[in-house]
This record gives sequence, structure tokens and C-alpha cells, in this order.
Amino acid sequence: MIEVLVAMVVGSMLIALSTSAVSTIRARWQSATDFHARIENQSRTVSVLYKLIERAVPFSLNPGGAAFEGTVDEIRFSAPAPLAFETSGLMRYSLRTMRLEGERYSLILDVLDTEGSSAPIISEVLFSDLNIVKFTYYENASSGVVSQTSWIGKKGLPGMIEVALKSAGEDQPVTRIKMRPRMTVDSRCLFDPVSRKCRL
Amino acid sequence: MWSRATSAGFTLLEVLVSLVILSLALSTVIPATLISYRRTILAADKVRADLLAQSIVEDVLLTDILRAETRRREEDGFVWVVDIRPVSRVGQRGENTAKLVEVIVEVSNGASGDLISRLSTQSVVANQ
Repeated sequence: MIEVLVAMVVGSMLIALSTSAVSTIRARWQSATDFHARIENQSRTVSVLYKLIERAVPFSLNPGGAAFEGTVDEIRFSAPAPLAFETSGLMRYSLRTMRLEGERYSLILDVLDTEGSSAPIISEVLFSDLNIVKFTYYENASSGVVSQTSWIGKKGLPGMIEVALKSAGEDQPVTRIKMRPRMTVDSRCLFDPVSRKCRL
Repeated sequence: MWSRATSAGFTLLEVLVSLVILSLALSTVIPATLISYRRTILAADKVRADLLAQSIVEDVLLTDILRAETRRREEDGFVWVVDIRPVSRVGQRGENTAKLVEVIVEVSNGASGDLISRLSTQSVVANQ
């Protein structure tokens, strides 16, 4: 009788230990998988941002308009049209944050109407459920590299743009990605609205 | 009517054998799960380190003047080292001679020191 009781106690302890170990490992594995999925999602978003921002051009679609306008939560710039549009020339893009609820945001990419309407032709959610989305602008001044929280009323493009992203969740890190516009177009270029190309 | 075999339940031997089988099964499942967990964390770190390396390169190339130097910094649990080396002169640009520099960024784990990401790029800069 005592042997059976001892076996039952030992068995119960083993089962309890193994169950708790398995559930702990499963929870940590699930959390790591979720963490990895969010980081991967950030990486995909960053790829899109790199492709867009590195092709930004230093002139506006409308004569006299600003080439690049940027605040803490929105960027507007001109860049070549996506290949899917099967057209050459430039389009106006907007990267903006949209508040979902509380401190949760989405990062939205709008392809704006070239005719000047504020309604976007295409609106795409690049990343949803973020706690932090913030844009910072860097200028290579004579005194060194200067960071700014907005790029309004300035000519040309910022030297570099930093995007800070943090996925919703307590253990998520803040990812800061820096990217530079690479298109070297003459800043005296005037945009031709018919051909949608630059002419000097 | 209940037979003796049915009403007797499990013998001690049967219980012990089942516990051994359970232990064997867990001893293979738990390490495999732990390995998968570690690999998932490493993969996430690799993606973060790659993004950090790319941002560091962009930061370095923002300035027109690049001198041969090595910079080291700790950031977000990573340690990164940037090595800027002149490679060769590539031709004339006005009165200055342009030169080719190589920027090498290595991002390591801050705790273990293991190299996670290495990015190398070359850029033409004006010789100041």
C-alpha cells in the first residue's frame, strides 16, 4: 500500500513538474515567435520605406510647391510612380500615422492625386498596431549634422530621415531606421504636368 | 459483473513504465522547444542588427567628409563598430581628388559578444 502511495506521489510530482515546464516553455516560445513576427513585420515595412524615400526627388509636382514636407507624424514627397501604375513620371506620396485607439497607431501610405486633390488614389496600411511612429529629419549643415522635428518651408530634401517604430507590446524595442533620399536631380528642375517629367 | 483484471486498476510496474515513457517523450520535446525558442530569438536579433547596421551606414554616409577612423558604441543591447578605410583614389573632381572609402559595420550581441551582422559598402567622397 505504501509503495503504491509513494509511486502515486512521485508520479503526481513528475506530472506536475513536467506540465508546468511544458507550459512555461510553450509560453516563452509563443512570446518569442510573436516578437519575431513583429520584428519581421517591421523589416518588411522598412524595406517599403527605403524604396520610397530613397527615390524622393527634390522638386514638387506643382510649380512653387514644396518638394518635401515633413512633421513628426507625416511626410509628403514626390517620387517616381510605382511600376504597377504602368506610367512614367512622378507621383505624390504621403506617409502618415493614423490613431487607432489610445496610444495605438497605424502607419499609412497614401498615393495622392497628381491633380492636387487631397483624396488619395491608393491608401495602404504599411504597419498596424504601433505604439510609436515618429519622423526626424537631418540636415548636413556647415556646423555639422543637425536634427529637426519638422521639414516645412525648406528647399530640397533633408539629408537623412529617421523613422522610429515601436510595435504595441511591453517587450517590444524601439527600432530607429535612418534612410537617405538618393535621387540626384537638379533642384532647378521644373515639373511638367503634361509629361509628368522634369524639365530644366 | 466486474472481472478481477478490470477492477484491479494499474499495477505499480505499469505506472512506472508509463512514467518512463512520459519522461522520454518530454526529454525530447523540451530540448527541441528550447532550441526553437533560442533560434527564434536569434533570428529576431539578426533582423534588428541588420536594420541597425543599415542605419549606421546611412548615418556615416550623410557627411561628405569621411576620415579613416574606427567608432564603437553600445545601443539597444548591441555593440557596433564602424571602420572607415580609404580604398583608393578614383579620379579628379574639380581641384580635389575624389577617393573611394569602404565603410564596414559590425554589430555584435552586447552580452555574448557574438557577431550578428556585418555590412560593408563603398562610397566615393571628395578629398578634403
